[in-house]
Amino acid sequence: MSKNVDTIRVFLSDVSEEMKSTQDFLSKILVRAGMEIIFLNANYEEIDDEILTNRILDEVKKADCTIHILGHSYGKIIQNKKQTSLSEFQFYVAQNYQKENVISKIFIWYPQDLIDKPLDASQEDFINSVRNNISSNMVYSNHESPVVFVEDLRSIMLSDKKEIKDIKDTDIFFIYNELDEDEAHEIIELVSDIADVTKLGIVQSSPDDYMTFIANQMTKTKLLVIYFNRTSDWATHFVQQVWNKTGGASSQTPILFLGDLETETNENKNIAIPNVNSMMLSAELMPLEIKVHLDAIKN
Amino acid sequence: MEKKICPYPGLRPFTENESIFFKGREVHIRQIIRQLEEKKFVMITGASGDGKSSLVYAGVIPNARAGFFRAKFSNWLITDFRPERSPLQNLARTISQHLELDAAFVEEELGYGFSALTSLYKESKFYIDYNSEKWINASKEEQKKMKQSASNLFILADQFEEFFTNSENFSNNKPSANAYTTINLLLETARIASEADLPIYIAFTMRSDYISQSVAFKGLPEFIGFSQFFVPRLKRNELQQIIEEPAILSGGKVSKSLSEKLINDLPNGFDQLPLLQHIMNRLWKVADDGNQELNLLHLAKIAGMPSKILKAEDRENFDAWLLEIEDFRQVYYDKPMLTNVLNTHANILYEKSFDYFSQNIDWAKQNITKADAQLIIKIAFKSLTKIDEGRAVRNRITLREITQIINVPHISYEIVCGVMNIYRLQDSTFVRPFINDEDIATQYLSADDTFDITHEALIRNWKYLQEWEAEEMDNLSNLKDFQIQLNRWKDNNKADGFLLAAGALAYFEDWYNKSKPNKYWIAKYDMNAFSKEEKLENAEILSSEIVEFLQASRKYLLALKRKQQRLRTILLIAALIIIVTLSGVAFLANTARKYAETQAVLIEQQKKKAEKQKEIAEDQKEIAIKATELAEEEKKRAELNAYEALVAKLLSDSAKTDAQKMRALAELSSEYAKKEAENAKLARDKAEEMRLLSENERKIAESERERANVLSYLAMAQSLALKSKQNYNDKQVNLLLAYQAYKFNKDYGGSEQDPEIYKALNFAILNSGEKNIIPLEKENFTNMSLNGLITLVSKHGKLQKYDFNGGKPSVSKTLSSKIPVNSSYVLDAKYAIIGYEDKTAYLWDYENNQVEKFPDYSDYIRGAIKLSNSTIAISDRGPALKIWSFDQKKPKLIIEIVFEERINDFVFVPKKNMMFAACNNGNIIGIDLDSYEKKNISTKKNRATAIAISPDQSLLAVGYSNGVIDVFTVSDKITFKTSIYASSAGVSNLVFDENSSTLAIATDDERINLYSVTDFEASPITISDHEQNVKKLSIKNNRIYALCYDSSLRFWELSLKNYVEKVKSLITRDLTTEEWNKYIGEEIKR
Repeated sequence: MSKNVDTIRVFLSDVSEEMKSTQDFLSKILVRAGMEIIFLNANYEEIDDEILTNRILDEVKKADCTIHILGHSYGKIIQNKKQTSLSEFQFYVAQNYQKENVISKIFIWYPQDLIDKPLDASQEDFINSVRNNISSNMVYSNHESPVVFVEDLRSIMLSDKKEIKDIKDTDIFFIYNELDEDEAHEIIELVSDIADVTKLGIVQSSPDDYMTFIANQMTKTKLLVIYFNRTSDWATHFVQQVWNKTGGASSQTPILFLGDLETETNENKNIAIPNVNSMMLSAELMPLEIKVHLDAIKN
Repeated sequence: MEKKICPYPGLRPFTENESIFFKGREVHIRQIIRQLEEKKFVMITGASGDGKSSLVYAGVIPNARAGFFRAKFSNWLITDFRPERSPLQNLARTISQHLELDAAFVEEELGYGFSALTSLYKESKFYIDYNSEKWINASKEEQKKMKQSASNLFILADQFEEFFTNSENFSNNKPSANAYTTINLLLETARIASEADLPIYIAFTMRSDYISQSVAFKGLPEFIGFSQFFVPRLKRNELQQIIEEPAILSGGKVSKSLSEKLINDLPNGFDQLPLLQHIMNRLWKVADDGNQELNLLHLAKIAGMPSKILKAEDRENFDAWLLEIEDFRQVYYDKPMLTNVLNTHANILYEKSFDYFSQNIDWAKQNITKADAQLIIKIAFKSLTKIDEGRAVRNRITLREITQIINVPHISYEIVCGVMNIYRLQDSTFVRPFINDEDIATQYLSADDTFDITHEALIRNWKYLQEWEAEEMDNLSNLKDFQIQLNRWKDNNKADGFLLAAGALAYFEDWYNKSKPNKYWIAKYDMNAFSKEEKLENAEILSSEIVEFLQASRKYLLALKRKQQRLRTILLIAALIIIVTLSGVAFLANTARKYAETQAVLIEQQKKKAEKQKEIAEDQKEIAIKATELAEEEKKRAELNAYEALVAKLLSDSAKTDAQKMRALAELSSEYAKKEAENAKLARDKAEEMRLLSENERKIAESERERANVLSYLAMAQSLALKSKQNYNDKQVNLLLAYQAYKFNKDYGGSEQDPEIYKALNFAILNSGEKNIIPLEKENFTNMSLNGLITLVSKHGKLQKYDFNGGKPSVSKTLSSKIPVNSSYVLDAKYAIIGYEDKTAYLWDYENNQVEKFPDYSDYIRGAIKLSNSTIAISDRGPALKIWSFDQKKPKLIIEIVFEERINDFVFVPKKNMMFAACNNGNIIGIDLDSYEKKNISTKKNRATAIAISPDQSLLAVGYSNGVIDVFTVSDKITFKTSIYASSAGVSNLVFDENSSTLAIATDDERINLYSVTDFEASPITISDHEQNVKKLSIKNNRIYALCYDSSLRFWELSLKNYVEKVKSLITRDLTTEEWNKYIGEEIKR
């Protein structure tokens, strides 16, 4: 989700006593960086685990991300079943929430100047557990400067991927260069009889943001076909850049890279990249080849 | 399993082919493309190592080729070049290749500058003028074909700073004609392309520190101002993409823990990206070529890592792996850090170069030794760098030139190539040109092929190369100093007065003999000449002048010495003459006195003789008067006789006057002689006095010389102690230097517990492979007690006893409970107190395995001491001390003594029957165990964190959170004795040795300081090799034992003498003469 600075809301988790001043300092910086801070307002001493979990969840849900500051002492243990500190309890609630809500992010800050200080045994176990279980939407920062930490947080929150709009599901996403337009249209016409096709002709001088469109369309496509006849130089680089920006070997959408065999310059244009099937075929065989690949994916 | 492609290029930049793995720079690529689209020109600047070249080669160019660059045509001609030593020729070469034109023709055309390049492009088949008749008259099919072959022209001048760094291009702050024309051509091309909207795009990449020099080229600053892109610092999320996404693209994975660790630990500033890419490349290989998820364990294996950071299951794996690697590599893991990776990698290649050469290079003679191979690497890398304004930079150089600088007859350029190949392999890529695994011919280079260090990050992060560069810097600085003296001599017609003085001559001769500067090396630093031939010619002249100047200076000094020797002889003779003269004067005075005395005697005799003659004359006168009366004839004879008598009388009177004068003279002479004698005596007395004074001064000087000698040996001992802590290939050198440091220190009266000598001996022992860790079973130990044995209690409630060699425990008992132990205290050979994480506490008779719970107890125990056979004192996190009895084995609370704040540590002093508590509010409180009355001993603002009583109960030491230790004397009263400042970090442990002569202090900055109780002001011995904070510190049998936070039990000798014996037992040889001369000095006799 794309955000403005003004709208970033941060849940600031509880800290042990010796980190209160650090937490206070950080909260002032967050405010000056234009963020809204959410604290837990609950008398946790007197409530049971379930109620406490729900109260924390209520606050976490209001936020775009959570911040957890780690110090060298474990902090006061609350009277819950696991006998954990409030900060650890809050961390696990946020973590469980994040597992199901990938948009939410967790920022852990363990300032560099504290790293060499001796830890409470319980705190050491907690930190080791956090450090060894960092997941994709978590950031574990050791930067000594709270300003840098907040800068990092802001740039990460603002760099979230753009929302996908106006993209429809399709079987085949067919891309070609405008210089091969005539040949490409013949193939697309044949393939359209057997599958849904979304086509894209690349015009070098066009101001369109092709890459954003391609990256988004790829998420709704079963097979990407990149076709070329007389534009092999363009095509070999184009397929590589598309591969680079759409997940490469780990992408869910394979790429079929098709060159016209009858054009002499295409002789050695096969490329070997994982998740890309590269073939030089005569134009009439191409629809069939595309169908074979699509069927293999569907099955 | 299909081998995955490594998506991290290592130290070298990404190539265009590797753009598929280039991530994290999408925004910057778009910005540069936008600038080019609008302005046709961009100057890309940034710090060294921030990926400028990669940004263009793997970002801008592939995106342009792929169509993500708005331009006239679909195809691209990418003409890239580096200025190197002949920029115009290099530009002409790439233009002629891509425009498919004759090279000589293009070079000639471009030599005219201005619009020459645009004309060549517009006239080529790659450009379409849509207004031309050719286009208008062409058929649609022909037009289509023309469009399909039309290409935009992209000109890239990479490493633009070479226009300034190569003296062929820029010398004495002036550009060469060749360089000037090239830049004129490029800027004019950009200007024309912009005005005429031609599809020509020009990009330069340049290190930002050369921007100010661009004013030397007319028009260049204006173009930089017109369109510049400063490569920004990478944001956290961009770094994350650079780390994680290439692996994903290649079908691999990077663990999030590793990714975050790398981002947190990466150094800021220079070299961030090349170091990161190199680390990722190494990680990929360690992780089975990406078949395993890249994780922290892999990082630990290439950079080292405190094992507490690793997952429990990885720790054992890592420790076992660490034990197996070669000795020379072990040391690199002592201080885990990311910059270790490059340094370690380069060192491994250095160590293995000879074996690689012997086993793989069959086309070069195998007549070199390992030392030769390492010398080749050293000189090759020194040649591949040069000093530019006090910093080391890359220096492209041919194989032939390197071989010439090495200048050893049996080392041919083939051998140099063969040895250096290990740095050109695909796995390392430290030096260009790289070896292509699929083309065996790339192993072998010709003498004129050029070597180049891939990235300056290597210069800044390889420690050996830094040492070599420091040596190079010294050599260059000596050459420049020498040249100043040489020129002064030449400018003054080679006059003797401008030759080198003795000290300078000795210094420069020593430099000359050691560094052997030959003409090829000298030519490398000739910044005045443009051509290579001219440089060599100048260097040859300088080389022979150096020899001439040294020889002339030596000859002159020898002549001067001989002259001085002659002068000394003359002075000696003159001194002898003066002595003889002075003796002569005294002798003459004496002689004159004697002569005067003799003369006085003679005068007296003559006077007597004259008086007698007078008497005779009187008699004769009387006879004459009588005769007058008697005879007239006799009268004249009588008168004659009288006259004769008168004459005789006159004569006699005259003789008398003479005698009187002579006597006066004699008296004066005598007086003079007397005075002279007195003067001689005074002079003699003065001389004697002077002699005594001089004797005294000589004795003082002798004593001072002795003292200076002693101090110089003590300084030498300190210097050797420092040297012994450096890394040498042969660890015997560390041992020998440490031992020699000890010997000098001992022989010349240094302190018996000198901290530096102690550290040197300790280091040498550990460095030789000896361990100071007692092997124990893997447990997370909470506390330790030393009596006859080492007793430890683990987090799992296991009590183990070990002898002092470790190994298998002689006793191992477990108090079965599923709750982890929070703290433990072994009271004696029978009892221990165990506090659990659930805040319960138990008294454990582990001898009989009986356990009793402390009733109504609910807190974490923070201290426990046995007061008698039936009472114990316990402190917890509350502000109280609780005294319990356990007469009937069941603990029973006797009294709870309440304080203002919690107690961090406390001790029992039997002779006063008192306890002393160190409180969190800085108070030290004494508790009388008869009356349980409290007495405030001391108050401070900082937290009192540790307290200890000496075994003889005479001293009480208290440590505070600000690193200060107060020492009190314990007698009838508790009296403040002194304060010590041990560290800026807090004090965690204090302990006295068994003789109450040493106080050991553990502080939270992973140090242990040893203070002598008799002299707290003396510098302490500081121990820091454990690199851990200490949980518990004890001293037993003159050894310090520390239970560290990683559960390792380490020990150190208390006395330096014990280390000496250990070092002696490890030494297997003596220092060689060469080593002695190198580390100690030729002038020091063994």
